Amino acid sequence: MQPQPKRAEWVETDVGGIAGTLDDTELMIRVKEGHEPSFALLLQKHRSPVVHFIYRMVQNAAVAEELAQEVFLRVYRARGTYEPTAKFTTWLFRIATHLALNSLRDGKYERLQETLETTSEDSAPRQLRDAKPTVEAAMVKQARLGEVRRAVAALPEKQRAAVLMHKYQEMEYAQIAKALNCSESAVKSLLFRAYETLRARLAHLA
Amino acid sequence: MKCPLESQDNLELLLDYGTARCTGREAAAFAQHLATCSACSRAIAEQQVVCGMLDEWEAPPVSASFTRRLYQRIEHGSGWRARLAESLTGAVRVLFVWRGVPIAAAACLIITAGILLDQRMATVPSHPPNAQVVEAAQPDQVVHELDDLEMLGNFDRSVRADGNSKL
Ligand SMILES: [Zn+2]
Repeated sequence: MQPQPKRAEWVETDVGGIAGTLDDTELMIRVKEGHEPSFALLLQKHRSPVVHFIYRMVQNAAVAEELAQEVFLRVYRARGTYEPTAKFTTWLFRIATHLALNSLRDGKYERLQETLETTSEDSAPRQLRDAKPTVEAAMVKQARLGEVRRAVAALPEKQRAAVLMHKYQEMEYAQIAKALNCSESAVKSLLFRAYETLRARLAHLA
Repeated sequence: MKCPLESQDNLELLLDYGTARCTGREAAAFAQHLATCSACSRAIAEQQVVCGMLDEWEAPPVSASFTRRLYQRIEHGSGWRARLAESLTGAVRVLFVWRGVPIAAAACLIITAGILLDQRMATVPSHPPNAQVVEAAQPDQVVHELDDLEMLGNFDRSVRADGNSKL
């Protein structure tokens, strides 16, 4: 019998070639049964979406990673009680939203908050990717991005979470409703109001 | 078709028109409406501009150390304390789901357990140099567990209720 690899080796390794054959819920059921490589696969698949969602919620990369770690820790710790009552991603984003909203409310990470006026940590790689933008064009782009970030940050928390799940995660309305613990029609109203605000705030940039 | 802006029905058409979410008969009917409604046409044009701007906002890449740090935290929390916490959370989760025991009583039970563990650890003499350091479950940590459990319990209930209502 082959020894089981250490956890670090499971990561990025599709043990038994299960990644393409099982959906997220089936993988989580395997995690519940003690199959840790399935957890590694779920982590590999959902790590970036979760971190990016929280990043856009709190607008701080370090805090986003810290909170995303908490999300996956909770998933791992709750594995024994997991029940496939909903899509895995709905469950995952419910936890992510809960933690992001809690952190915004309790102000625990207030000292770490970046000011939206500072150059964002993602600006450098983007400039490198662009084909030698002029300084002026780069400044205009940064200013636009700053406006977009401020406009999103100014949305009420629930509207912000709904927009981010709708726009970037492309989640269905029913999924967003379950993640936010409200009805589907409430989600549609939330989203309509949120985009209406964004349209008004960003119209001058068009 | 009723104007979504006036009726506040089918608001998703104003959000999703022109994307892969909005296809088929609904999209065709709305396209006809757009030909006669300048307010909806303007809203759609503005919506597409906003979505284009949101597309420009990229999130930074996740740190290369993210997964290693996570596994370190999982390994760190895999001792007796974590097993006890998992057992307690499993038990309390059942109480939340069954709703047979008032939430306040369950909360008191868990917070008391956390405080007792905390006090017990406080009375342990200092560790000999080679002894393994054991962490105590802090009351605020237990409160956070309860917070999470309530959230997940509500989630299960809302999903079940939703499923039943559709049957
Ligand atoms: Zn109209």
